[in-house]
Amino acid sequence: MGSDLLTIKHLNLYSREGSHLVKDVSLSIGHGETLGIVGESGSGKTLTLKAIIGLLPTGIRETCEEKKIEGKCAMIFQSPLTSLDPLYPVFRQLVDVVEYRQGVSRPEAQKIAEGWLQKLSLPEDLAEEDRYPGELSGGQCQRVLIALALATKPDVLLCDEPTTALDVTVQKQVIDLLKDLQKELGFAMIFVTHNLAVASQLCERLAVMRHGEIIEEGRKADVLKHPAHAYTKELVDSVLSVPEVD
Amino acid sequence: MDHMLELRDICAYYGDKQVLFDVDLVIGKHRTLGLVGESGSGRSTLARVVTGLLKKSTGTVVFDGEVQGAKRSAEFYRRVQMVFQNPDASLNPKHRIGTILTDGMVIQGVSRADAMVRCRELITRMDLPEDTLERYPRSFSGGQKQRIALARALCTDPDFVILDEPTSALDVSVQRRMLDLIKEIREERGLTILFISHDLGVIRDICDDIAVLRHGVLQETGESAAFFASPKTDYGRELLKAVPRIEYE
Repeated sequence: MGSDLLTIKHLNLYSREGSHLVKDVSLSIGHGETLGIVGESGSGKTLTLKAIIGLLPTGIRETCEEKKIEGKCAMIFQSPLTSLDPLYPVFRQLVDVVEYRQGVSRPEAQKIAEGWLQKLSLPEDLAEEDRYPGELSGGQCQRVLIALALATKPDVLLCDEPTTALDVTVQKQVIDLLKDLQKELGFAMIFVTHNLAVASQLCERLAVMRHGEIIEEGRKADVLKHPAHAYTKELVDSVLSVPEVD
Repeated sequence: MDHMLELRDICAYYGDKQVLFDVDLVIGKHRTLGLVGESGSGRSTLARVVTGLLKKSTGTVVFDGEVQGAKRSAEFYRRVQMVFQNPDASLNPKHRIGTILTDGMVIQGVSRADAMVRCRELITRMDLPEDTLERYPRSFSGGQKQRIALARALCTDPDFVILDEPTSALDVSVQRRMLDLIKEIREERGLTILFISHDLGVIRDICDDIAVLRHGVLQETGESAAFFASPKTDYGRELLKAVPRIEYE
């Protein structure tokens, strides 16, 4: 596990009515590591992520024995269109974030933001002719969101199903992009998804959540090839395979 | 082979924008055809053309040997049924399941009492709780709601069912159960199915034939097994390549 960047010990979350939503979740992640949290709807995976970054919905009660976060976190969400301000052109959002978070001058921020457009294969004419989120495709919006998150120079990138709303061909582009950027920039990543195949492509370690608990955690190869828990096995078996093409 | 559905030169428009371009497609009787494509490819539009819900279209729809006019007969709407992706949007939250299921049959002239009897059989067949008919949609899980939507489609004893992303809103383990149920029902009733999905894993699991749509243009059609062995078009290949596979190492 190395020197830990982020450590959560015994996180518990309760709803206003008192139901136990997340039970005794402990996890840690070191520099440059990737952890996938896999689970079905209602398993508490998104809530766990929101507890880490401090974005819990009102009314959720949180207890945690230890929550140590060294460095900065940034988060990307499932639906790019609802997380971008629709009345705010995307390049301007990006320049604003760079200027504010990196504390640089406006022209400097402009230059850095142009670099991000290039890195994320976004249309570079956005710098001259800015557009609103509604004028971009879903995949482009998700890439803008990734640029916004990475422009804050995070040590940990938290991803909440960022490819679920995308078409498969676009999903593949975003997965490849995240892989490359992670290699290049070295941030650690916690990737929450219901899709075991997507998690397996991006993460070295996997944690399986069910009914608010982590029921199994370990190296990807161990979890997938020798699942210790029957539910993990069920999840692996539920993936409908398709043959490879050359 | 006998055709259940034949589409010839289908073009469709939303306002001035053309969204389907000369689509030719046939579905054999008792076959399941998977219609794949990405968002905006025109899959759901094609389903609306088949069911006569989209007025602004040209081309010929032949159902079981009969050319369909602009207005479909009541018998057509008994024989052709549809299940949508989102059960929350397709089950009226203010009606009990009993009302939702029997309404379609009552419109077709079945008495409410007979309809209730048939509903009870269907509910049992779908592994739904016994008190289902007295309850409201909100008290069911997503998987149960989708089984209710399927039960409603089967109420009129159709020959041809259009399933529009019926498992996309479901968890993977629930999806598996739903697909198995559809396969069993298909055998029992000899259904012909048009199965719309973006998920090639699902298509491979359940379909005999496949049709690939992109930007409103049909790219390729053929037997599903042949497609998965070797797609005929570059786009088919690209689509197949993009499906995420489990990486064990």
